[in-house]
Amino acid sequence: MKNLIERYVYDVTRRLTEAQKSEVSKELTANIEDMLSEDHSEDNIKKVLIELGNPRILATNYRQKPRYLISPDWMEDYLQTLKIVIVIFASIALVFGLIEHIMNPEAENIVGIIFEVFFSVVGEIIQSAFSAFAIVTLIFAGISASQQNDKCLQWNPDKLPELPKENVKKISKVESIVGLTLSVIFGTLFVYFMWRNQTFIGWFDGDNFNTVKVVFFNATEIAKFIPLYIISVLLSVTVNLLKIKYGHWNLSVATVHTIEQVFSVIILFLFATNSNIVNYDFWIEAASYTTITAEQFSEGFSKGFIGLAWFVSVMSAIDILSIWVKTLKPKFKR
Amino acid sequence: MIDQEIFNNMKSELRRGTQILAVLSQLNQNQYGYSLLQNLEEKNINIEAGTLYPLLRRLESQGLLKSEWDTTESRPRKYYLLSDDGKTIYQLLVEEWKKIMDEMNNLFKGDTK
Repeated sequence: MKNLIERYVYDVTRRLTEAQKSEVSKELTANIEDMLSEDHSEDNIKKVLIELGNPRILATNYRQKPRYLISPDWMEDYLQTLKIVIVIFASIALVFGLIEHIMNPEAENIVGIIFEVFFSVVGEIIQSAFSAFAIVTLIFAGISASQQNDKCLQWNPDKLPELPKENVKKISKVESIVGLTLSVIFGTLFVYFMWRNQTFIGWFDGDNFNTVKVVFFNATEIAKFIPLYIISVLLSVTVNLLKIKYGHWNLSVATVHTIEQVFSVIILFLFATNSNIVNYDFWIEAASYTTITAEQFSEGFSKGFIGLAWFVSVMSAIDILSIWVKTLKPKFKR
Repeated sequence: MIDQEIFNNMKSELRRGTQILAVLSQLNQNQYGYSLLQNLEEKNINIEAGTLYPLLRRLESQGLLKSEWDTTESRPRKYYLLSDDGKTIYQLLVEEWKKIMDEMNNLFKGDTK
């Protein structure tokens, strides 16, 4: 069975460069013939081929230079970056997927919509996780390939990372990055919704979901809040950036965090106590469908809203308190 | 109980460095792949065929060996021989090997005292 030898040689040489191919093929065949020493039985051929080893490994030995996509030196950085980028991509896909499919469902009934939303969102998360994987891998393969040749990589002892501080409460990087991503996404969306209030929230004209008959928010009142809300989003972005920078709770992170929380609570109270915020015509329209009067609607809404504002402010207060404890406790211990 | 696998790994790592020296030492005369393999085997130097053949090509591309196809026999064979550079490097490596032996022996002696 001469075929076996040819197949073996082919399996080795197909993994080599064109320049090596013909020479290795000729020499390897000659070597195998020598090793067979006249006994061309199938068993002997198999014995010799097994002795030569797996064609893949033999080809690696012939190739001389080790080959890899990402060199072992970069592997650890690659894996860490991969983890963070996949989390960011997946959370963006989750948020946008949810919004897109809940707002424009194709299914007709509620069960269908739930299934549609679930499966399309899961699909989109997987898709963007794969994109993240591909992007990070390509970038690192590029870095790894470009640095392969200068063997003694120049490095500067001044650029060594600082030691992590002891006795401080750490903030996980992933958590801060997710926080940053989410506050940017939700911030932008919310500003957009408030700005486009006229087209999104309100009583729609009968079966036609394209035009709003009576809008929910009072456009002139809501416009006053947009700049305040943008400031609050910027504050939250700043907090997350500081968290990423320091990686632990310290005075500046805690201070900005407190300012951000207090500011949001103030906005919330301004919002909740502003009785003109909701278009009164909206309540009149609502009242026309029920036995409740427009006045009761309006009153109930603002009571509920104020209640919510109190609840949020209590939660914020607890949060701020616990963060100052986290920040200051290690200082007292020292 | 020692871990046999750890020991085997260390042993083959230690021996791997001597393989090139062993191969060079036999190439003062023309040899083809398989004859060299048998030659080494007779002297109890075990090197796998799958390691030796690529190694010969590598040493040739580094200019330590020169090669020639002999097509006069019934089947063609590629013969290898030390080049002038190869001879020089072989001599240097032998001296290095002796130095290593002396140094190691010195260490071992100091250890048993």
